[in-house]
Amino acid sequence: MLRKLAIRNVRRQLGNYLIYFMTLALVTALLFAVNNIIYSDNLAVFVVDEEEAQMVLAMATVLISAVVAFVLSYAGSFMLRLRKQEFGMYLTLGMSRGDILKLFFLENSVICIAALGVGAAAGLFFFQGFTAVLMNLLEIEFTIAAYSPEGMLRTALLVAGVFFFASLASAFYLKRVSIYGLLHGAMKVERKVKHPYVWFVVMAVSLAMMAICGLAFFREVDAIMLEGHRMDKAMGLLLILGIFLLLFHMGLAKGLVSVLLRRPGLCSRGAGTFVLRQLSGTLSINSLMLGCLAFLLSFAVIGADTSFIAKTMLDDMLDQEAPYDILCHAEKSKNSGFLEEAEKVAGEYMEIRERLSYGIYRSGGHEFNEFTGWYQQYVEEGRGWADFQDVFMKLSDFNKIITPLGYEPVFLEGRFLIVGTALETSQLSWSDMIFEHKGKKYAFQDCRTDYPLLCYERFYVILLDEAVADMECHEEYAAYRTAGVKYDAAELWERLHGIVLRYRRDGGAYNCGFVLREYSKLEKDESAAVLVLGALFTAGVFLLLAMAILALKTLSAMGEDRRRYEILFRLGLGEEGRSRALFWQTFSFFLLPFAVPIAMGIPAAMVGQRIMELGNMEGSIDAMPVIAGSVAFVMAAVYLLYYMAAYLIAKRAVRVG
Amino acid sequence: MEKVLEVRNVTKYYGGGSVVAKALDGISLSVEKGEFTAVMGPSGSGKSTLLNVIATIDRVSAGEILLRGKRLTEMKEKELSVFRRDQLGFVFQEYNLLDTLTVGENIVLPLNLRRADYQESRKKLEQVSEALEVADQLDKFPGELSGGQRQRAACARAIITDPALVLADEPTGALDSRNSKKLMETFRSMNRAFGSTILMVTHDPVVGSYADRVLFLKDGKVWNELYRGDRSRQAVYREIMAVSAALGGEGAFMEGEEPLAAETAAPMPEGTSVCYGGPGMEGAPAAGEGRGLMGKDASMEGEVSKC
Ligand SMILES: Nc1ncnc2c1ncn2[C@@H]1O[C@H](COP(=O)(O)OP(=O)(O)OP(=O)(O)O)[C@@H](O)[C@H]1O
Ligand SMILES: [Mg+2]
Repeated sequence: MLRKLAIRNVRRQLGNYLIYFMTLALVTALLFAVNNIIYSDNLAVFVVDEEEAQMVLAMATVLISAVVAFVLSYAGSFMLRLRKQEFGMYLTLGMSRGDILKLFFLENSVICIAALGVGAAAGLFFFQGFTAVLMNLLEIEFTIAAYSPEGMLRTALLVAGVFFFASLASAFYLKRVSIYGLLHGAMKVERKVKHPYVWFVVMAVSLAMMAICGLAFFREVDAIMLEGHRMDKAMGLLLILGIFLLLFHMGLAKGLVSVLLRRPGLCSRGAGTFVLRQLSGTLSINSLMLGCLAFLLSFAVIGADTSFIAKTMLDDMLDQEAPYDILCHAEKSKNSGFLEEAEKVAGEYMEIRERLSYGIYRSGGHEFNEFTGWYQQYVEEGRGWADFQDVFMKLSDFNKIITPLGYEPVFLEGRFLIVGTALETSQLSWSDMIFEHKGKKYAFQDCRTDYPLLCYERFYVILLDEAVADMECHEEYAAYRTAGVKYDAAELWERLHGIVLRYRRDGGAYNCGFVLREYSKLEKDESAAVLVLGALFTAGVFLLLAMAILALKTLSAMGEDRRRYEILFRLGLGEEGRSRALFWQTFSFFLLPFAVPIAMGIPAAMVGQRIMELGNMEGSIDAMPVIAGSVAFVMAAVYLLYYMAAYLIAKRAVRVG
Repeated sequence: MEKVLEVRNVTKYYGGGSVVAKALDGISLSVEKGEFTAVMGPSGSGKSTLLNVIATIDRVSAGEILLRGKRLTEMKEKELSVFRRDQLGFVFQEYNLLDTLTVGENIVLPLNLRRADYQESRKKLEQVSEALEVADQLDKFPGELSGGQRQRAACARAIITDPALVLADEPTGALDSRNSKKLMETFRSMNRAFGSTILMVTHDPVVGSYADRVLFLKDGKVWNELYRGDRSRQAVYREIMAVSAALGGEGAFMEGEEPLAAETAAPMPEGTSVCYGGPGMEGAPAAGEGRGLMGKDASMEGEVSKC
């Protein structure tokens, strides 16, 4: 009997249950995927040396799960509300609360188990298929071969926990509520928003504050990039921005519609008043929820943007940090043998096409370093200038190594060129400086910070060859170009690293090293993969939850809305008019928490552009709007599809058309 | 007199295949401008169906309906909604008002749907809400009103567009007898002051007695018709009782009488089977008595149906 009832009920409310079910299944799938990434063995290799990373990721899943649990219990209560009257009727017919609880649990268990199954299956697809496609698109080499049992177990536990939490909340409600409350819960008296104008002002002020926070954040980005500020202020600004975002949406939900309603002359034509009233009720009751959704969605948008921007940045950084396939260096006096040995080992792995050798020279002076003022403190502490000698490079050497990388050769006419590897080098007023060497004076020509990393000094000075000729060659560099054949970069890195360690032990100090482009790429790819996947899955979960809440909220009210639309029908509002009213009613509700977050892509792209500009990654500046646009487009498309589904179900529910 | 409504040979079937219910069976009737007509009859006789097909929220199976000479049965869905909006007013038993809108917003809604001028709508709203005594309630929500106030608000909404025809399906169904009477006074004054043509379905003989004319339906056909003429309401009431007794026999008005039974409750001494006299309708018989009377008079069928 109970089972029959349960099945019949599920069938009758199929649309709503479908959305509930799909949400549960999709969330399961996404959680499954995230957990598998975190606990996969491949990632463990990468994460091993940074235990922090795994902790951060694990904390992220717990956070996501908490949000999921909250939202799903919210969704569960919708399902309950939808059937309040039905349950009330059972109670009046003499069914006990225990029976009803059993019924409710039974239904929910069926849904939950089915969702777990479908979710796990979809998770397999998401996890392998989606990851493969995504990584392919991003040209990242990242594969996770095996599923991790720990990840699977965690997903199952999480979903079960979430389910339990949601059911508990519902059971608690059912246990306490009166029959009258169940039967007449739907007939609540509409309450007017108190002080809509206050909320209107809150909305306006929040908007202004959001703009101010945004601008301050922009300035802080500059400060971080140029002056080496720490991130905390920027993070604080983002947090404040988030709070005002929440307030803005609350103000919007409570204020705007009510203020419009107080101006009946403005928008009462047609079904205007009706739509506004429909909205005002739901919006004002759910203003906090809408604000939270806007917050989550902004998080999703900005997170996805940031991950892609970081991905582009990592790609650019590879060209910056490892411009040549191999770059070795060794201190000349102590271990020049390192370069030969490293070359021999590398030759076993790849075909070396070209070797470019250059040196770093010391004049014995420290005029340039003294000019920067950076080391004053250390010198005063008694370390002396011996550790902070100026370093020089021959113009011919410099041109030799930059032209193959696509840079224009440099011409110096009795002047010097500063090449900085640190951005702050360019902040100094070098033009005040005159360098005297062997009776000749050299004036400042330029300071550049946009060349790739070719010398591991904070900055070095390029002079004409004859000026450097008599200086002491301190370090030797060898840059290699190779035939682009695939090889085991990790193994080569291990071997070279072994050699370095041996030389260092013998040399007793940091005096040699190497950069392997292929290996750097591997490292960066893995960071990018974790970043992008993590952000995308999080964004996916948040987006999905937002949509699910909105859809459930809309659809659970449809039972009452059907009557209202029936009245409109009788009053002679045609099908078109009712469709339009339903569209505006549902669309405004869906759009409200989504519009600002999606627009967040614009400032995100601007910040990205600024970072690229400051970080010598001019090539990627144009990619920023494309990234933000694509993220916004994909999210909007998903959102729209989901909305369409909800709209069509709603349309059927109110029997329009 | 101008004929506002003409129903010609209308038949309405419900269902399909083997289970077909004939709700209307070749019914014909007409309503003239300014007429206040009540439709009565036993449960299941097709009253609501008749109203629904006139209201164009349901389609006829055969026959035609003309309103102000326009054939409704030929109109397309789109024209019909425009027609409803511009020509008809509705008062139903429940679900009349939108609970999310204030009473005032509810009343002007039909004008808004017509995209009428805002200032004129305000004026019209004032006028009808004054007339129907809901002017004080305009800023409240329907949930905050009593049943009677709600129905008066619904009436205000029904006449705010000056419709050709006001349709009401058991408008007093959810009201007690006092409020029923008050609402009927309202209908009467709508009918007189605004010249509204009203077609109302009711179970309640007291309510029916306010009409100028009462149509009795049985099995989807007009079975009898009764004109008020110059007679008093009591006289009409008596005749309604007689006709309906003949029409449905015992229990014909059982449902409709419930509110009366609950509220009028003028205690009547045992054995006083008929008590039509007295001022106003206060002397209407209690439910039990009425039923008893009808049961007794059911044999008079042939006689009554001639009047
Ligand atoms: N939607 C429907 N589907 C099938 N049959 C219907 C439908 N609506 C009404 N009927 C049938 O049509 C007949 C007339 O119904 P209608 O609702 O018009 O009666 P009524 O006179 O209004 O009765 P009541 O006084 O009880 O409201 C009844 O036999 C009823 O069973
Ligand atoms: Mg009926």
